[in-house]
Amino acid sequence: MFSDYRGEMKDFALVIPVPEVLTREQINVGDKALIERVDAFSAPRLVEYFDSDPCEPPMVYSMRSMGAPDGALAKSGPASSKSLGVTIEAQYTVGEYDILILGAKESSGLEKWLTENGYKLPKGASKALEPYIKQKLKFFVAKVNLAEQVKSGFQYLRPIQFAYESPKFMLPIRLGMVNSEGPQDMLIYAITKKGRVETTNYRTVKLPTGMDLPLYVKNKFADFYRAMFEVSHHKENKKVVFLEYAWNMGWCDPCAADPLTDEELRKLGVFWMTSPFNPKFPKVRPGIVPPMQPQPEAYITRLHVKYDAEHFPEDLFFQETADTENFQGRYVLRHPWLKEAKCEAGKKYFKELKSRRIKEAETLAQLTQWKMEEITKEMGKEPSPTSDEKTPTKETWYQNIFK
Amino acid sequence: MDPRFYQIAFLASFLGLGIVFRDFSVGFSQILVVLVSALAVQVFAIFKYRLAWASLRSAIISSLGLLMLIRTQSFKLLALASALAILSKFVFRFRGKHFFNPTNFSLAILLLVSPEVWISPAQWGEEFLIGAWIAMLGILVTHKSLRNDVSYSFLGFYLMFLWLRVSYLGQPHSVFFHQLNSGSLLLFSFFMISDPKSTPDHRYGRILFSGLVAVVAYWIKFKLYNPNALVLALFFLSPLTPLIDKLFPSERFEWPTSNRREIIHATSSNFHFKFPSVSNFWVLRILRRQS
Repeated sequence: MFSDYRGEMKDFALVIPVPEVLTREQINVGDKALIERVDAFSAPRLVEYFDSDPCEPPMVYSMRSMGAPDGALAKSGPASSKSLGVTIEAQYTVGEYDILILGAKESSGLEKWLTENGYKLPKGASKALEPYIKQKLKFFVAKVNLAEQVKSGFQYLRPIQFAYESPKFMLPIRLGMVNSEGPQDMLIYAITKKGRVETTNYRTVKLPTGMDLPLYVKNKFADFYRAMFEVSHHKENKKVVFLEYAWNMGWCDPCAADPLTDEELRKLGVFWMTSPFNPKFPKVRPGIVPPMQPQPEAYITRLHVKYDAEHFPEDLFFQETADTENFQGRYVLRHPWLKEAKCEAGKKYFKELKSRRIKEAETLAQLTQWKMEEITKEMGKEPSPTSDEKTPTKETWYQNIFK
Repeated sequence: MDPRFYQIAFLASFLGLGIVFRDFSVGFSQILVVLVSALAVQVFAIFKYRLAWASLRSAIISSLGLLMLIRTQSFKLLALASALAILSKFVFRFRGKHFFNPTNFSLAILLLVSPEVWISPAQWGEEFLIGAWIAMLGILVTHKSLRNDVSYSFLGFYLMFLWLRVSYLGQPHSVFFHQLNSGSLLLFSFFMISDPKSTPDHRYGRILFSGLVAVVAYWIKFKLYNPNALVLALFFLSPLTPLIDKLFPSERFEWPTSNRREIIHATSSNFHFKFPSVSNFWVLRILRRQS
């Protein structure tokens, strides 16, 4: 779990319901780079294709891809409450965090205990804590140990990992809504043995994918992704979870980043892989890592959800399905052929190029709700082939001489 | 008119809308595999047991129900699921009555046995389901011929449990309404547990049965955290049907267009969930012929 907490380190605290009292071995402070790796590997991506000479049918294409910048990660927690009915089940310092595992009998007791122990609790915390207490969950409470934080030398808070067994495949999101200002963005990377993960109590919807977009999106991919996500989110009445990536972790096509190595997967918690798979990924073409045999037993699902109290009344519940169909958020840039092409096919090609440009602009407008005028302005003038059948009047040598 | 036509119309349009607007990942090939497999087994049974051709309607209902719920990447499993559904009607019988709902039987068996099969309960989405609940209740109210007391009593019990749980946990009541947002719950209530052929014959028996299913489903969902609770609960409890029928004996249900042999089983009916005018007419005619 990694959160993009902004504020003073000393003010940071998080409370997460957990199904059991976690021992010290079940908790770890992880490496931010690992999460960035998974994020980069699974991020929506751009692919560029270069049109070939329409007069020479055999296709040769080169391709590059790049990952989208990560969306806002995970969530921050609230804090606080004490007195009757609260038991400190365990207490550890792990890395820069002071961690308590609390058991509670009553939500008001827990709220009081936390407040008295210096946690600032937002209004309504007690009401949000109650369902978890009644379901006999424990509370994992962490705050930053400033001395340890200075020793660690990190300028940011590292992700917290915990490992436990439970038939309850869910994420308690309701608690985090108490102190959030507006909707929160969360990315969930689920790595499983079998196949795709989906929510069982909210619709999981595939992110729009596979569209041809104007070339200039390359320089504004982050803006594009954010705008498109926002539009899709509104279109689905803010009530769905988006699927952004679903793929075996052994390969990718196109790759937004190289697949994760054995070691990286293990550190992320993939404990079940017995036979290490070859971490040297053969590349046939730049940007592609082909599937290898046997494929590693690690399938990643990337879910993106933007949630608030009104549209997500219940925590997220998941199930692992047997679906191994590949899915990725992938957007295509097609570079036109701009050299001479005088054959019939060439003429047809240039004609189609015009309508293709319009279509790309329309797609972009539809996905992002950016204004058509802005898009056409950004797209610039229609590039013309370097020498076209209607060759522009030949420049004379003296034309520019006295300017 | 045979109420099965309404069911087919409802299921087919619901499935069609789902495929078009909700990306159910059901394509033409899946539909073909399931229908062909189910109809083939049913046709075989028609010849073997000299059944009425109208029984094909039931096979279509079973196939459509299956298509809406079952998800798998394997066409073999789809064909198997469909065949199993229909076969279960002829294999698991007690005193001439099958006690598993065909769709429920094959779904549960495959969910329990094969890791390749799953159900996506949330794929319908809220807006879609509100429409479907209304349409379904509308059909039930206007066409009393559909035996619907099981649906009502099951929903009564199950929703009461959900409501009590939400109140006990102190969750906002929107959670309760959110929990209705399940395609499985809707299909289950109106097309599986309500199956007039496999549920107990007597109304008291059906109420008892639906209460038991609601309790077990609640337990599986909230104690074992299995999202397929409804399907599994009905599967495990269906074998109790013959026992409940013994406890509360009553007339056997028949579809209004069933074939002769089945009608003769039914005999003079004073049972008002059936279609007295139609079946009496048939019985009369058959009796006359025999005499």
